[in-house]
Amino acid sequence: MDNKSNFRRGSVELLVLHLLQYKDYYGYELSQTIKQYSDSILDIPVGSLYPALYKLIDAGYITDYKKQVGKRLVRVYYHIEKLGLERLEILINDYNETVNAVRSILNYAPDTGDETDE
Amino acid sequence: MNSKDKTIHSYIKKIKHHLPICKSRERAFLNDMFTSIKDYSDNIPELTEQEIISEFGDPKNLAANYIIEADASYLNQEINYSRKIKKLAVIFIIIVLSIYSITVYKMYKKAQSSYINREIVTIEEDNHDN
Repeated sequence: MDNKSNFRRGSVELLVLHLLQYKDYYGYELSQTIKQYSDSILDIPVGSLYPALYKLIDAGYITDYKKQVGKRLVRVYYHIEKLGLERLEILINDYNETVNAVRSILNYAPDTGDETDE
Repeated sequence: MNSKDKTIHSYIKKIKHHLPICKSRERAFLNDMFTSIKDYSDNIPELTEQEIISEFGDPKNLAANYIIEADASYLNQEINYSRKIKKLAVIFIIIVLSIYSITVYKMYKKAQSSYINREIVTIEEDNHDN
């Protein structure tokens, strides 16, 4: 994902909360799931994803817990909280409004007839 | 530690080198990165650093992304705190060195003033009675 694209950057929170409402994910799994289901159009590097997850934890939208995987590997899983579900609803409404508004503007094409002096 | 883990640790170390601070949050981030790379390399028997860079990015850029995405107020607070600690440490070292220097100087002066002064006394026989 292009870091200069603020439009896409703003969607990370929405996408993460949406996925977490269905099940708990670990970081790399979240990144790969988003990439896979967006046909690689949305490719959020884990280096950007983790700080976004930490912000969500700070805000109380999600929590994290550790799970032993194999002998030495400990994975951190993320779980959405009630506050996160409420936040998700707000973000989805906001997204839908924004998309509709942008679509309206993009569908607008002013007349480009010649101006005549009267 | 197998060679794959060594390669991953080397990559993680490079990310750490480019971070301005390394507190608990950054350590958690580096641990999370380690785990992500381990997950990625599950089916890769021999992992090279170039392969890690291809998938996850250059360590410098990764550290830069972390800084960009991290909470600005948290970073400012931690960087300022680190700076204050460093300043206090420097001041403390200067004070300790000053006290040490003064103490050594005083000891030197005391040692110098406590030298035994030698005085030569010549005893001559008095031959006047003879």
